[in-house]
Amino acid sequence: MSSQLVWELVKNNNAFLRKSVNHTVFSAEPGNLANKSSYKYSGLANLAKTVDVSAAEGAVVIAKSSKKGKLAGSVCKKNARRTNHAAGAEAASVRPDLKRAAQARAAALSKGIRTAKAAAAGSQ
Amino acid sequence: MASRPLVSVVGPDGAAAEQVALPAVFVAPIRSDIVQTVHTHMAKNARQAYAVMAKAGHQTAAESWGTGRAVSRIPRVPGGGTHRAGQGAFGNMCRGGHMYAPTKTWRRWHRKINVNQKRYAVVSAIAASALPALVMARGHRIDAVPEVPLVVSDAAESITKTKAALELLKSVGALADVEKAKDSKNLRRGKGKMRNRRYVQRKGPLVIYGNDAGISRAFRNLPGVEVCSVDRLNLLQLAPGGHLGRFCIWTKSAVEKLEGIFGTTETASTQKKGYKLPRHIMANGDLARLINSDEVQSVVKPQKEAGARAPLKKNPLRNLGALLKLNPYAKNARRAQLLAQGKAGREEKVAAARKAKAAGRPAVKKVSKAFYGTMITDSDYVGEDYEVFSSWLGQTHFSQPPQPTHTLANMQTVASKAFVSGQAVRAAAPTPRAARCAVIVRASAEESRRAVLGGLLAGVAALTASSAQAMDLIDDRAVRSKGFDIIYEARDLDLPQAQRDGLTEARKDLALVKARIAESEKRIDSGLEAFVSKAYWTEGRNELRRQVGTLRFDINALADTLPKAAKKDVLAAKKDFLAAVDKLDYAMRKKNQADATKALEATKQSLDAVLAKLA
Repeated sequence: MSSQLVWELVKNNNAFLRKSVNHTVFSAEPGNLANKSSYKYSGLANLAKTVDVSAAEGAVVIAKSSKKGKLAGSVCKKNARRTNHAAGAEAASVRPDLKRAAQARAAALSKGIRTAKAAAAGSQ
Repeated sequence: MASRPLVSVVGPDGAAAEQVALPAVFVAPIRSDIVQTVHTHMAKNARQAYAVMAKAGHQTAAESWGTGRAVSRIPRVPGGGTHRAGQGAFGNMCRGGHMYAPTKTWRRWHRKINVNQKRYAVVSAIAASALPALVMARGHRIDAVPEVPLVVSDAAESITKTKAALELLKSVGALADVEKAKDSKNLRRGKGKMRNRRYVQRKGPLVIYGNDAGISRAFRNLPGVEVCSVDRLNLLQLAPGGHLGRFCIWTKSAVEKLEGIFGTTETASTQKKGYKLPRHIMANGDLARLINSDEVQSVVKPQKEAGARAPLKKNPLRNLGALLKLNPYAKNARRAQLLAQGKAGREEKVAAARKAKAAGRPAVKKVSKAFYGTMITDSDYVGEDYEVFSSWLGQTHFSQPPQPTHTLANMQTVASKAFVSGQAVRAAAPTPRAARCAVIVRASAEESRRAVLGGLLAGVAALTASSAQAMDLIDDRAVRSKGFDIIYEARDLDLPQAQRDGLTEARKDLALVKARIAESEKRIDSGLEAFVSKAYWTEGRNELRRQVGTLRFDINALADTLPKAAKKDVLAAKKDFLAAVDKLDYAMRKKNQADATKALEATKQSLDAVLAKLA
């Protein structure tokens, strides 16, 4: 099944669509670096060939599609700058067009984690 | 889809034990439109008829009253003696009437569905259930599932206990989906709650078996989990809500049976007579690969280059850059011109500009000069037209020489008349100040020359009348245009000017003058010090002005009493003093404490010098 066909099947209705007021349409599936409902970023249509950057337990997790058609990856235990670099490199290896998106997402997550940690430290 | 891969069979422990060939149905074309339509129709086939009672709203003998009774023509309940009589009936707008379009049991409840469509839909749904992306898109939790489609060993079919079933689901990674379904149980929204559909719940996995050796009972009580025989696959279960991608857990025997049930695109099904799987319309659905293939790329036209845009036209006469492009020498020429002009050139320019500005102004000076010349010339005129000029005034008595005293009185009348009426010409009456009997002739801008001349003649007449009086000519047009003379008109003109200005007051009493000077000196010596040291600048300046304001007149008054040489000396010293005061004031304005302190010292010293000379 080609990714174009999958996209045609899922683009109108899937469990991850987040339609809101003013015609904003987002998509929350893993593997969607921009959380945008579009063919390029869709983690569903491009499940076999995508990158996922997420946060887990105060660290950034970088995953990419494995042969089984799943996202597989690990926690990136690096500083923010190197994490961004790693995310970009990972994306470039699978989907060069997503490199900037992967870096941007990694940067945003790193910042969020940093501020969350600072807030937690401040409240103690 | 020539080559069909193998699917691993997951054992009860969750480890892949063996493999089974993927049935052709799993790669059948996926037609979501067919699935949706068939699902919509199939969902209707389980419906039972319902309707309101056929006679509802019609159990009365109502008849319309017709027109002419000033009521609407709705049928009305007959009779009398009860409230119901005369009320409207039957209509959906009436109380007790029937509903709008009463439902009937003979509604078309069910839908016939073409069997081939139905089979296409089922095949599509099965194929979709083998794609992880579509299963995820439906909302199933399949992160922990090793492979989709998920095939478990036949040992699962003989599970009889739900506990063991749960155990199996856990080992194959399907527990997350069951948990999700379980957690999703919630009250239904809307009226369905009271119509025996109280709760809603998500769907979990669909377990499909080949042979039931207890599996259906073992799994059926798990929330969200549905169990189904491979022989009786149902679209409502394979694509709930018409949405493709139900999470299916197949047993090995079920998967093996699929080939016989649906056949392939080549071989017919053994169970469905003459049925073969639908074919893909396109052998390759990978659009990107098609577009980028050599076959396509070799025949498509090359990409068009965007044409160069025409540059924006610029006027070389206005735009220096555009000029330089056309004429590179223009830069040197411009520079040489500027250098040649130099300082002298610039000054010339400034002078020219000033001249041009002056030329723009009305030549007031020229006009006034001309006017004055004419007036002087005319005033000398004592020829035969004298009578004529005097007659312009319309006051014939000037022609006869009257008594001098009367003339003065008349002159005053004329003057006062002129004041009141705002007339131009006034032959101002002799005032005490003008005891020498000066006659003042005023000419104002808005007056005609003739009128001025008339006024002049009046003055001349007065001159002749009162014999040998001097004549003052005052040109007050500028003053009048500024509205300045109104102030003077309001004053008591009989008082001497100095007295009006208040200057004589200072000279009235020398003892008082001396006392004032002493007081001022004291205040400047002692009072100002504090203001300066505390940086009370505004107060300091005010105090300084108060003292110096009277002091300078008082010094003048005292100096007047001295001999001429001494007076000159004093006035020179006073000038120094005032210069020092000026410096002090400036320092205070600038709020410069160091300068102010210094200037204050200088002021004191110069004041002492003045006073020493006065004494």
